[in-house]
Amino acid sequence: MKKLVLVLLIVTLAAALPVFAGGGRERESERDYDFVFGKVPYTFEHAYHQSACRTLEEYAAREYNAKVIIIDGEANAEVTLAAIENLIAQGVDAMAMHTGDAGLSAAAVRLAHAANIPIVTTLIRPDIQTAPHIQPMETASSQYMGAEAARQWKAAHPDKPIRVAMLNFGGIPQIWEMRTGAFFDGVKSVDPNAQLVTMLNGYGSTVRSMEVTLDILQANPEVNIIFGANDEMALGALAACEQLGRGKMNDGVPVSEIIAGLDASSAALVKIFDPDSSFKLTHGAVRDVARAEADTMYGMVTGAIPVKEYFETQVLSQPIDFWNTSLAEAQRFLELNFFYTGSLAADVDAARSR
Amino acid sequence: MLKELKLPVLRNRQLPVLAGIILIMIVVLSFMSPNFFKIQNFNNILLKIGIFIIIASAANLIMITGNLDLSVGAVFAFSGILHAYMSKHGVPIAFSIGITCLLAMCWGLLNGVLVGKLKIVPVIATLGTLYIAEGIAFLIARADGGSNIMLGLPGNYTSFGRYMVFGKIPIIIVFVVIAFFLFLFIERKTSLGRFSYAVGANRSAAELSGVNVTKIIMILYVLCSLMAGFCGVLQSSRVGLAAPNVGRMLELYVLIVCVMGGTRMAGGSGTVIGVLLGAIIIGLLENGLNLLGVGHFAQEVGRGVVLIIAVMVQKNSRAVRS
Repeated sequence: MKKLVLVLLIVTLAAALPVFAGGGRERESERDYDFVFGKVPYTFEHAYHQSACRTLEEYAAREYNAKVIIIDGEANAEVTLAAIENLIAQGVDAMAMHTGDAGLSAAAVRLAHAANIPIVTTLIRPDIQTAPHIQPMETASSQYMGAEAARQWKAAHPDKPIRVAMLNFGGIPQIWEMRTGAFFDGVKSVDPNAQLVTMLNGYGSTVRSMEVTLDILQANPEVNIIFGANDEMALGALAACEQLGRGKMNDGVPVSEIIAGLDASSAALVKIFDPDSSFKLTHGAVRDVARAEADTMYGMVTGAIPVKEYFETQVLSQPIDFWNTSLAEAQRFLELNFFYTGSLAADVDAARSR
Repeated sequence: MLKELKLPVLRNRQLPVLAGIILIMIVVLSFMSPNFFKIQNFNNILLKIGIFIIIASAANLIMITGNLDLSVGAVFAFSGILHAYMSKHGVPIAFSIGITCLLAMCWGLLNGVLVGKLKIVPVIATLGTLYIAEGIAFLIARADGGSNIMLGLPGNYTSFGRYMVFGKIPIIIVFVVIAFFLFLFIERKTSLGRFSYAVGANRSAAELSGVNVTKIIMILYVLCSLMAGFCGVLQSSRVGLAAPNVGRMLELYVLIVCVMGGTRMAGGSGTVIGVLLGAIIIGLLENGLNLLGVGHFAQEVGRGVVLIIAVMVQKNSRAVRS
């Protein structure tokens, strides 16, 4: 019986894996590469990181004939550090990492440098600044979104004071500088009397954010601008609003609240371009961040970029919102950044019919 | 002989203690937050803990037999993803729900075979199932082209999860009530319930008395996975998307709810009423901390402190009475 169960299990898994793994792609082992790069994304659970890794793989192969070994950081410090050690053990020519922990970034830089492997960090600046860094310009885009949300609210409801609620990741200090704090600065630039009534952990998850937002709106029903520090959380906030009979707009004119997110994924843009949904703003940069990582790794390997000197490559995090971005621009953004092959207009129509 | 067993459920004196804790929490939170004592808020709390109650009601019976199911979160996520995937690709919603529930039961059957028949330690067996189910959930999401499934779902996808019975009561709450009474009935009025206590109290004695322990364990695991799978469908339909990571830590919440409700991890005692009360304590705690705007790290501390206090109060009440 034991043997039978074991054999059945192995056969089932062996049969299923190629189906899900995309067996049609080119077999990597058959190609000779000039370089091998490593990449540790924050977590493969987010659409952003999946697309960033895919872009990095394709761009590095095309431009530099480089193979990219990707090991998921699983949004966990220990796993991320183990992934760095794994890449060092594999002797990659250079590596890139994206993590939410400045101290962890610093430790990774030290480990890589000790093994004489160039490393580039992304988004969260390390505690020690001794390696190149890719910095999406999120602060400016978050400020823009905050200001635009406040402008739209004041235009529709000049007599209703702005009350902001935020969903964050819990414990990443730089998220305040780049996302939540910057967004609120933008709101205050339009309405100095705006108040931040609460900021709670949405755990980066749609379901958890939905539950937390229900509590937020119970305690603070006057909230009229909600910012989720990623699109997943903003979508959760929207689902909570919809459950309470809110979450609506009147052809782009705010009714109950305005919701903003971050990453500009296809799921978010479908809601943003629905004139009746209150999720209306986001920003993101996938392609350019991935390309900057590949360019920097190649530059370090070939000696064009110093391995142990800090400098930032800044990348525009493109704001996208219902009022100022055309549907065609958004469609193009998705195609370039998220390998989107559908029609945004058709997806918006389908979502509206729900 | 089995009919003469004194069922611990009937002797449970911890329930008044749990009810007392709930009462204190309600009074304190009512004073601390003006928006707490409102029907809408209790509705929110029930929606939040509804999933825990349904799954924990079944998982509780497994714990009563002295076993454990750590795979509920993964089966929950797998089912949500599978349902979304099938619905997106043209399978009618009702048919998709049926297939998903059947496949969820297969995970339970696997657990039942591993634990009941092959005698593998439940923690290891169900942990293995957890990894496989979660991995397949991620693979399905990836096969669909993303980290979750949201785009392209049919127009009526959310109709089930967001349905309001009589136009007022969320369907999840109706299912919570059904699950509660169903498991109360199983626990008290069926041989499955009585045998579960017998197996947990003394497995060897139960076997010698003619109880088919393997069969009982297999049925309970299948039942538990069915509940987890059904809740995965329900949750996915309510939120309007399916993500493979939604079940993370769900198994821990289910475990906490059962233990807080007075179920012994070694088996032999526990009741679905305790599960309900344990879930309400968890729901009140999380809701209260959010209403008060307590920050993330302080929430973690507060959650831990209240959980320890609640379990200690319960334990003391058990010691005093014995």
